[in-house]
Amino acid sequence: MKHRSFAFVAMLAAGLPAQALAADCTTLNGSSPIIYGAGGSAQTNLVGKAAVVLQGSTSPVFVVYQDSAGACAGINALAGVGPTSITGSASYWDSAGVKGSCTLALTGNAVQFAVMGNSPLLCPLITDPSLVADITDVTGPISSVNVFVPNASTQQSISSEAFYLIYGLGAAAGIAPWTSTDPAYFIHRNENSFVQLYLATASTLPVTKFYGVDAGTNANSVAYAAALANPEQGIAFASGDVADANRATVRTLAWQQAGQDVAYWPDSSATAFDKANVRSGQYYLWGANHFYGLQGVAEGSFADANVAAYVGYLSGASQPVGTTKTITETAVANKNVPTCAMHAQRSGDLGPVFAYEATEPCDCYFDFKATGATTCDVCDDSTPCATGTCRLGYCEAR
Amino acid sequence: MRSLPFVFVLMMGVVGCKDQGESDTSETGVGDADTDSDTDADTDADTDSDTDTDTNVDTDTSAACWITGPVAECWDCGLPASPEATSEKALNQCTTSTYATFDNGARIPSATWVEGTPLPAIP
Repeated sequence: MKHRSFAFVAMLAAGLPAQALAADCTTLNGSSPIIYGAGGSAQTNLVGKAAVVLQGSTSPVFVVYQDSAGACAGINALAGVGPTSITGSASYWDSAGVKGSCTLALTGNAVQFAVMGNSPLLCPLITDPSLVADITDVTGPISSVNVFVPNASTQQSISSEAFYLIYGLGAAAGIAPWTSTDPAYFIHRNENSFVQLYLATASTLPVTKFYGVDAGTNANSVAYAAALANPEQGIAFASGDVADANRATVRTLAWQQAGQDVAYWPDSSATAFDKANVRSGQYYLWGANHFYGLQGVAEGSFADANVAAYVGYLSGASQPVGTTKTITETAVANKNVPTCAMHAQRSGDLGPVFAYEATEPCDCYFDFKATGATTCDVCDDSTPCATGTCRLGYCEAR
Repeated sequence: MRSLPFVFVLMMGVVGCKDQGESDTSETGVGDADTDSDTDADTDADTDSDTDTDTNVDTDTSAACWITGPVAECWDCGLPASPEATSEKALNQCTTSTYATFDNGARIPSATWVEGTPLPAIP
């Protein structure tokens, strides 16, 4: 512990508070095995909510997650094309779901799982599919990507072409009101960020040529936008669950993809929460979250049993022993769309959209949890459904 | 606040022909539930036939699925059962959702870009 003691003394000598050093991550897990992950900040809240469920299992797993290096950091680590360990500080969640910060090992902790909203081939360092051939990739709840403005802005919509020009040229594009000469008004991320990768793909703007300032995380993007002196001129983007959680300060713009006649919000209106246009595929900027781990002996399996338990929960493949909260419930609570509420799917990142019907739909449950209303009948063991199937307390279509 | 030289339309109401009887767009699950059930029926009834007839190059019966909406034609026959080259049908589905319009011609200076031409390269 000599280095920790030295650091402590050094901080005191520098006049820094002693509590600035977060607890060692390995002192927080009790007797539970720890798994270390890295990836996007867009998924941090979902990662945390799932982590709490795993802690409640009769075979608990303690999750530590770092999102400061961008979405691609995790898959880069697993593929061995970037740092394979995470260092510094990371996030953890206590049994009540409160997020905290803990200190990683000085020499780093090997990344065991990765999370991001895109497939590996969008990441700049994953230049060939063979680099991820030994990595299992499973998908889970749906996330949207939202372009937003401060609430005081009067703007309602944006086209993919205008987005390209605004973020490519800044004020020089001459597209009012986004004509400030201050780069701070054009808030973006970097080439390792899921949201920027998606918007680069949708708009065709090269991912490394975004004008403005890099906010670093989804949460910072919201904070930066909300703090702008002239809200009318500001613009930013983040994952849908982060944008939705911050409607008190920012407002999502309706997105008009090239080839689309009008612009749509992720929801049926600017103020709804039903994600109707994500679920139908009409809102363009959406995709399934991806969860990764090193492959086990069998194709599609995970080498690490604890990673398998955690990622299996996130993908809906398994329910941790001794727990009852399903990934559907967790996803809805996090303002993601569970796949059982989707009516569209797509092939690849922002690929063509086609029909999807879940074998066990949860439209009724999602509608009620997301909006507070549903036309479906409630049900339980003593009140069975006249038609359909009782699931999560509602009579679903089947 | 200076006057903003743009035109946009924010409409509350129906886009699709089948929902013209509804004058209000509900922001709860009601409208969506109706839309979903209609979509399911159309998917079951029409998608297969559309797929079959799409292979007939002489008769484009998919044209019947493009109906006139308040702004432009909208796709009224449910999503395709398999990926197609573009998402044109998905992006322009008939729907009860509200929408906004970003008029590229009005909002983007012609010196910057003109719709229908390639977007300028970013230095």
